[in-house]
Amino acid sequence: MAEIYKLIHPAKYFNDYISRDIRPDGRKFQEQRNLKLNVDSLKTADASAVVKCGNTTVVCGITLELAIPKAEEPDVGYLITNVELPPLCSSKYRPGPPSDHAQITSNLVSDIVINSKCVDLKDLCIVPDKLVWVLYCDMVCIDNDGSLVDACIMTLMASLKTLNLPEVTYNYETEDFTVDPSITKPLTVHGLPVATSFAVYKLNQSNVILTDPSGYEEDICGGIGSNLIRLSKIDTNESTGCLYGLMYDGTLLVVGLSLELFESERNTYNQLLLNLPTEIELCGVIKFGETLTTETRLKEILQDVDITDNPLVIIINQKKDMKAHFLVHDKFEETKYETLASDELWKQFLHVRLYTTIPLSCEATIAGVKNIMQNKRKKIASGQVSFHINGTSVYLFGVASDVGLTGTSAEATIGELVDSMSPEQPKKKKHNTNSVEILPVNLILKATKDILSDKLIKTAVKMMTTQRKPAFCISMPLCIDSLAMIHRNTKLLELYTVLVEAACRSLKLVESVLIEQLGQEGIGDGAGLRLPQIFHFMPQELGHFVTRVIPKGIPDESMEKERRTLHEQLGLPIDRPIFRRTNEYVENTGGRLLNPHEAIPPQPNKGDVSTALVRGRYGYYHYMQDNFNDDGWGCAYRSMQTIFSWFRYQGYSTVDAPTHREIQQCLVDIGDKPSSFIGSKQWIGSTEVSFCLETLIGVQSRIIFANTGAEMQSYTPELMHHFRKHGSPIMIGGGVLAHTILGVEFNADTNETRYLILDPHYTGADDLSTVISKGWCGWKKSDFWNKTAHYNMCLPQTRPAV
Amino acid sequence: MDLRKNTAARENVIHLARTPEEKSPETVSDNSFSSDKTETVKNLSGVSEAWVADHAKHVTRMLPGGMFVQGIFVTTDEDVFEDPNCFSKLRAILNYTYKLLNTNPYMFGNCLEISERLILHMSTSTKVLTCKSVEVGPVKSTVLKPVDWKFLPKAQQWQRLDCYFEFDDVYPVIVKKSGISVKQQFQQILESAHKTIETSVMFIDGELKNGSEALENLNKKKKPKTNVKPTQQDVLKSMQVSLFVPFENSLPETVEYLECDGSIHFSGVVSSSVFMYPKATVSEAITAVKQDIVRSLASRFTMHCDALIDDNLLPEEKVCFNEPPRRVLVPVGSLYLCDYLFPGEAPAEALLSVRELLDLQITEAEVVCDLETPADTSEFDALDRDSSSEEMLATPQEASQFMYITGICFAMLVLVISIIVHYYDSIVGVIGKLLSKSN
Repeated sequence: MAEIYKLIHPAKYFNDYISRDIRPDGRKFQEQRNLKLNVDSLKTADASAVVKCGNTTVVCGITLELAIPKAEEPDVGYLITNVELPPLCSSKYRPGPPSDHAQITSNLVSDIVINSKCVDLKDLCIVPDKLVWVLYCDMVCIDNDGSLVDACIMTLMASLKTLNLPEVTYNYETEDFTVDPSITKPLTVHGLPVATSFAVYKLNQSNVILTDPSGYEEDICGGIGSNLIRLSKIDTNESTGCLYGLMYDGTLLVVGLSLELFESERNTYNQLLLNLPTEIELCGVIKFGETLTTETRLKEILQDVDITDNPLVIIINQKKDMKAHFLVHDKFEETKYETLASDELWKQFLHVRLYTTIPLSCEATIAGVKNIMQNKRKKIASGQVSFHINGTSVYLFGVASDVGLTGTSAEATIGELVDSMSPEQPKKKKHNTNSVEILPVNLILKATKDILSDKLIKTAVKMMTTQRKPAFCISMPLCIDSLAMIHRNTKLLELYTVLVEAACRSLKLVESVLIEQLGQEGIGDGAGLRLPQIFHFMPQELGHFVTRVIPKGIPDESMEKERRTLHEQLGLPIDRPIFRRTNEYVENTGGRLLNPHEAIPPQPNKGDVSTALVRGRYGYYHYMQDNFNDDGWGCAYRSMQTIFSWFRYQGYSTVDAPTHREIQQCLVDIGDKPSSFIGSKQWIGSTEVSFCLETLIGVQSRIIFANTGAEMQSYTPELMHHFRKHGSPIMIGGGVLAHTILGVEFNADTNETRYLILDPHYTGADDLSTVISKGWCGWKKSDFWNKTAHYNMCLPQTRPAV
Repeated sequence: MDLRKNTAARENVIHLARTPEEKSPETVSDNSFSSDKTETVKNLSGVSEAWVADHAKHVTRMLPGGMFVQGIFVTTDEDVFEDPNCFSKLRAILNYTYKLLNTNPYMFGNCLEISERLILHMSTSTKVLTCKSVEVGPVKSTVLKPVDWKFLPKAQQWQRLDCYFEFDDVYPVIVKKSGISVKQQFQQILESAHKTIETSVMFIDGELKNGSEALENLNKKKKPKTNVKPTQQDVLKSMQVSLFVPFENSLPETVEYLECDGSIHFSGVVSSSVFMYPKATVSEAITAVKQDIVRSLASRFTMHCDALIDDNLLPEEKVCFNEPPRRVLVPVGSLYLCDYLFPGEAPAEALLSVRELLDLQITEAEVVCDLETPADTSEFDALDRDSSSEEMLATPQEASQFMYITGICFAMLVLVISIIVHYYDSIVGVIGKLLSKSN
């Protein structure tokens, strides 16, 4: 029971120990684990060592080779480190190519050894420009129980210290060399670098530092990298950020924040602002620290706040207490604030999406693009454009017209218009309270002039042809796709200026991407210019939209750096994709249902319950969809499609869910099934699902077998861990029907586990209310599993990526 | 005046225009006109189809959107409908006209909804008017349908709709060694303008109207009391039209990259005034306005290109200015047709063509010529100074000369589709004149 308690309530379990000033393995906070070191353990290597820090065991072997040095460094040898983390050492690792963790560790070990200058690589030189030593340092982890780097450094240093280099004679005339193993001299090692890992654990708003953390402690304290960086920033009082928000009715609504990264040039927030919906403006700064003093840098930012005369300054101290202040006449006045839950927010605010495509043609130079974009913005701001709210007869006019809008009363608000457009019953609407409402708007250009206008120039049409030096031109459809966030009580009349700003913001964003492309080498002349495409993202972590312009055809992989910066700016985790193309926000309108489980009415809380659910969007695939009759045999296929859709929506893959035939073809191609399998109606199981995932999108899976349905209960911690770590849907098959598991819930009071099941056997129409009310997607108790049948589960694993 | 009961549409004939004589002296005198007339009666077969069709083409240019050349008018002493020779000749003329008007789709010379054309015959001996209709175009029916020809007892009211359509586009061009063809450029502009105008949304007096509503109802709603007693003097207030262009979302999703060495700036306004029968619906009015703008553009471009000496803009010419003729309005009864004046031409030129093509006498003061203004050449001069290069003012020397036929007296029936009003005074006047001359 203690073991289950540890897995199901990991934080609580750990807290209980830490608050008693002791670690779960009995150590004090600053206590190291026991060390055991053995040198020259391997006979095949030129030098070797085995180290055991607690349970963490690493073997290091160094092999020697001769090589020609690099031309730019003719007297420097090579020291090449390689850390291997086989599946043997931890359940975290799968067979296959080196995991990211292994590569990161390997680089870190290499950096420590080289930068500490304990080995002078010049000592490895035999004949400059001709011959040097190569030290291949292979470290294999046999058991990984935390503080891996410490162990690697220790074993590597022990091996280096015992390494003897044989004598090499080089004949300059023949360029031949001879190695004499009988004469050796030891490698000179200066000093001894020692690595010590620490974990920082947050307990009741204070940080506890744990020396030499075990694997379990590392997991509890969270990803080692990002959290440490953040905490260190907080500690040094240096981290500041910008706050973005909008004013409504005299209230300032703070929507989002960004961390100001001082490395790049000034005013990164101005550029970032273009990625946010219109109406959201810079409204203040956030400061992680104790004092309210503002540096000049912050003052500069505060001066840029236009939306209110009294910019907001939020202070978050080390204890995570938040205080909000308005800067009124250079004095801070503390203010009260309320936190809005997202459903409450979307009840009050909605988004307007302006979408149009305008033709653009200009000279293929940076100046040409800047010029035409400025002209377009001028034209849009001149009042000549009008906006049409799609699906209505409502048109909004600019100053060039006598009236501001037509098609509805001048007093109408946006909320009223949206409500009148969807004659849904209030009951059905309740389903959507958590979702974002988006009102589509189109841009139209007034092509006629008002006869009564004073500015009317009645010059008859004429054509002027100008010739100039040959130049390169680009012409493309310029997409304007912009969001604005507005309160439902905003009058439609006021929407005009918002939409103009939205159009301009979109143009500026596209311009920056075009100019960046034109400035790049190779496509500076515009020949390789890619069409800018606009994507909207709504990361769950942020709760607001972020718009990105991505050049068409450039693979997501090559834009990782840009995305990483954005992740860092917005303070997002860097272990999963958020801004890849396939992460794009999709409106849940018609077609295949997305995340049906979100519509399940919330259950009354029954005591000590912990839940872990699928993370992110997936599509509900079931029988008979896509005009394909798979009734009775296609459930595992459909479950696999759901998993594929999850990987696609999360940005891990760009592959669409494969059809039944593609799945069968894949299994035949890898030799798992005979060719007669294609086109058949044979069932597949969880191993086939894992094969397809690996073959088609390179996703590895963990397979769990349960001998009987009754045994399922014991895997609750595993499933819980899976959803917390990976968050992907689980396919379960075996002796009986296949299903998709979307979540687990464990009640510590009753010791009961419930499963959130998505049933692929549904044959009806994609109607959310039917699916929910008939339980095709819903919580099932343990008796859902057949007590006598066996089960196997495919748990698709994710890899950290941005 | 109910012309055709067999179709839902009624047609209003507003004017009968006499086809000018072939190869006549430059000024056509009334006397020579009358003498020719008697001759024509005798040899209807001697009439050139091309000539009549050409007349129809030129008249079409003068018509606002929604108006079409709808048939021919013959005065003879024989019964043209009985004589198979005469009848086949008349059909040949109508078909030839139909084909010629179809050559330039942007002129909207043929009304798409109605494939029948009218033949109005007045016997010189009995003074009886007979009107029949016959199908033209691909339909090969030779059946003559009788048409009820009625004169309206009083002048018809017209609902006028006005707008200024503005162009301001810059296109990159590739100048080949042979230069740029002005005609080709105009054709491209015309095509894109047509596409743009077709997709645009039209507002009347700043509001989006229901397409099936009648124009007169729009007015009634506004001022319910004014239209209680419509009198002949009661002139309907002109409606202001605005067009809004949505951007097409079907552009190919690629970046085109090309070498170009010039740009074309096409700018200015096309004024449009169309006249609708008040019972016409909003959507009919919308079609008429859109046709009017495109037709006016096409007319200008054709007239300009016809008068050009050299179609090519040569590579050496750094800046070149093409100024097509501008539109003026000429009164015909209570409504206006239009004409085009080349830069430098006086309104008197309009009088000439009105007399030649429409057989109408108007005074210079009646021509509305401030609708559009000629281009301000200072803009061009400024450019010229800047570029200090050669320039060419591609202004044609003379308005296209119209060749006149001697011949039979045909009259073009200018009809307004489905908006009917006949123009009683004018018709009576013309016919009266003809009669007096023939006597």
